[in-house]
Amino acid sequence: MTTLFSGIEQYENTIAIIDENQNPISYQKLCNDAQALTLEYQHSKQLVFIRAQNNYAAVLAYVACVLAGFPVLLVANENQVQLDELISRYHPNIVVTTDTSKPIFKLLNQTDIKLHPELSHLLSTSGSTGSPKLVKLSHGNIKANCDGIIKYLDLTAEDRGITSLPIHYSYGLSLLNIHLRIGASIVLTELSVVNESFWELYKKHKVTSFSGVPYSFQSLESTGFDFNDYPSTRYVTQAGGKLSTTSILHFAKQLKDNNNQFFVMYGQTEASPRISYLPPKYVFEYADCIGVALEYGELAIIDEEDQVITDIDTPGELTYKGPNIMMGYALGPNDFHNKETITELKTGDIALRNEKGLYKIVGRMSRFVKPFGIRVSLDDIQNALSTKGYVVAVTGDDEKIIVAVESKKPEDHQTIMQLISIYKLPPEVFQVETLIQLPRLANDKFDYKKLQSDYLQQTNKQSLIQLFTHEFKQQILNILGLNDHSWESVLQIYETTLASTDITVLCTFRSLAGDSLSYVSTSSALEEYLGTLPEDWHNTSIKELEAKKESHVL
Amino acid sequence: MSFSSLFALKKVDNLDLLKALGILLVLINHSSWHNLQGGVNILILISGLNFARFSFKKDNKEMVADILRLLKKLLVPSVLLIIFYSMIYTKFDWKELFLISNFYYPQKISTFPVWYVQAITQLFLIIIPLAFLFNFSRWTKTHPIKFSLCMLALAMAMPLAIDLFIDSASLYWKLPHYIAWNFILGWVIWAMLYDSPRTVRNQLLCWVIVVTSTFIVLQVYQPIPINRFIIFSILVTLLILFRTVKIPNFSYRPVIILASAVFYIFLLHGGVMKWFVDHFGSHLSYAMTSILKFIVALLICCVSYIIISAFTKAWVVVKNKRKAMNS
Repeated sequence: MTTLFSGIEQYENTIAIIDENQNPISYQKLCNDAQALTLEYQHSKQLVFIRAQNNYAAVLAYVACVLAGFPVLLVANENQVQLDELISRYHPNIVVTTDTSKPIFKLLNQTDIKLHPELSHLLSTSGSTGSPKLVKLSHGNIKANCDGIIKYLDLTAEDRGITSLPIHYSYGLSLLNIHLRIGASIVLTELSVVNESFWELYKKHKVTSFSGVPYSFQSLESTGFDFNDYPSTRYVTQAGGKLSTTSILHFAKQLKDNNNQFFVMYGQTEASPRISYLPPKYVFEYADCIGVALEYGELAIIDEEDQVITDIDTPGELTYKGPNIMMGYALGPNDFHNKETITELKTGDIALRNEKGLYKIVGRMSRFVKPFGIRVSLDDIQNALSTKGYVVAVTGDDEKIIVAVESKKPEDHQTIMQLISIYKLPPEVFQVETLIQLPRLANDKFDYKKLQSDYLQQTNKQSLIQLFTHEFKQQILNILGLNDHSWESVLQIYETTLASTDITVLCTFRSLAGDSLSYVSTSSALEEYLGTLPEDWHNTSIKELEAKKESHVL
Repeated sequence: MSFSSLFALKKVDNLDLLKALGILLVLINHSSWHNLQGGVNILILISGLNFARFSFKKDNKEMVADILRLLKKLLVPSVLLIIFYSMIYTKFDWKELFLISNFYYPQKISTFPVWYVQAITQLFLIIIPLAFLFNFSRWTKTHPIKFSLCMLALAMAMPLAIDLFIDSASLYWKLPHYIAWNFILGWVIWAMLYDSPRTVRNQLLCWVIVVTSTFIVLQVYQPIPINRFIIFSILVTLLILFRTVKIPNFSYRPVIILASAVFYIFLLHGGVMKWFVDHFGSHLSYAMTSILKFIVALLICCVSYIIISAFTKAWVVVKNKRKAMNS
């Protein structure tokens, strides 16, 4: 069995890692350390969860597990609740802590979990239930994806990356993977990209690439950041959501000045995670596109009858075929031994293809909604209720999920409400309707559009009023000082008290034209949120005020 | 909350406390206790101090933009209220509507201190060209104390010159050249105690400047009872001595609400008091009417502030949430 990191020992004394203390670590040392770590567990395959941080201990534990062929899941170190839920649901053999210079492998149980021989990585998805389901990736999936990325980035052993994203995030992990696989190096840091020290490290270690999500670029843009100040940069990648065309062009232009490249990328966890990239030559003309599939993959657009749309500029659901599509999902420990053959991944995104063969996302399939930012598959809910014997159609939007049940019994309403309570969403998100007959199309499929027009529009108006009423009550309690933990962020305080939305983290009360009429409510809200109000609060940026809050909490 | 925690001390910005005291004094004064004056003076001073704190050391254009924004916030509700009172009393005075009646006569149609809006607007309209003419930006950045003191001297001299042409006394001194010193005293305190280290020397010097200039304006220029001078001087002394003060926990929230609601109280209290007297004055003694109209005005104005403020904030939050969801 060859793993993602098989053969990296050949890079010997080449630097693999610049650790968090800025010490260089060679591939030889990394491999030796890694092999020593898993020696005592080599008798059988272990399921390992790593409490991941962007430090050497976490990377070492990760590399050790991959080399030993142990399926591994990286969990955010600070998220104890998530870790506890994952442990109780999936029963890993080992949990690794990474707070010390050497990772500590803690054996939780010696149960012989049946693990598929090809299973290599587990990635968490943001599901609608408390315990997220895990995406199962094989060695083949992850290798194919890394090789595809290495190919289009033209990555070589001369390159040096930096952990601008957490490694427990699929995009952050992918950065680590591609650099180690090709024999390049990567600088480990937990620093945020808006921290000046991050860029000092970047400059000091002559990092050749930067990778960010839309928030990273928006934050940098607001600071007047310029990649030309960092001449070692060879390319920049962006994924993790749609970045505005203006921002893409802003940074792409900066990079073009020195003949460097800006890659817009698109992916999903289920595809290990990269699916497509926009070749940099198109970035100025087609910045709103997600580009073309990875070398070994294939993108297509299908209509409602699953027929491939070949016409250009015709929207449909984006699908992907390639060697990096997952082995399936795991919902519990018994799901690790099987492998589903998924030939085509339906992304849930609506896209079209232009005359250049570039794909562009134009929307999201209605079968996924995001109430409170949590991705929910309407089909999951519908299928779960169907297995209980109900004829049910589920539709909705980001604010309301309509569960329409074909039933003559009014008591079914209550039963359905109980069944959907397993989805850890506020009950008011769901609206259960019992109908004598569900609306259907000529082909006997449910008529979701009719359900939406019958119920959703009315519900949206109601939910807006409900939301406003709720906020109004909250604001009255805030003013009266009867609301504990009433504020979520400094930004929210400024947006609310100054009634403005055009606010960035670098703004101060003064720069936002705060005045004698608004300062008392702002300063008292800040004091409640921060605990103590700095004397010079009106000259302190939102970012710095948030930092004070964090240091106060820590 | 336990009894002991209600009386535990909590730190509050002295500006907030004085703002609350200032508006209470205005309300008390307008409720018949005419000897308790000086509330409006401390409010004007705090307004000047905050203007300096939030708008000085900016470029002239930015500072003027701040002034225009502030004027918009003051003028839109004030003018609407003038129109409202004009309609309910079926009287119309274009001089009042265009905010210049304070130069003609002390009478007014509107039942709120419209003179203050008029005088502060006129003052700002004088400051705007001066800011460009004398490059305020440069002086506030390089020599804020000297600048503030020069402006104070100019403001002190203004009444002497202007009174040669205008009989300010017959207009009860509700004119921009008689509030300029008060507003600019806020700049002096900002420059000497907020923008510079709060040393004993600075505090003493600041106190002497404030009290002397107050005495000159309120006792020499204006032959009015000494109460206003004494009360204002005491409040300013507290401001100069303490940047923050500790008050019992139970009083913290009322102080913050009062300090936040100053503009609402300023706009609405006159109307509420008049409504109360018209409806209940004939059934009650003078003393009872005075006490009740104070309480009723205070409560109605604060409740109005809470409701309107919560409404606008909730609207902003809902708008932002919907925007975030849509994006």
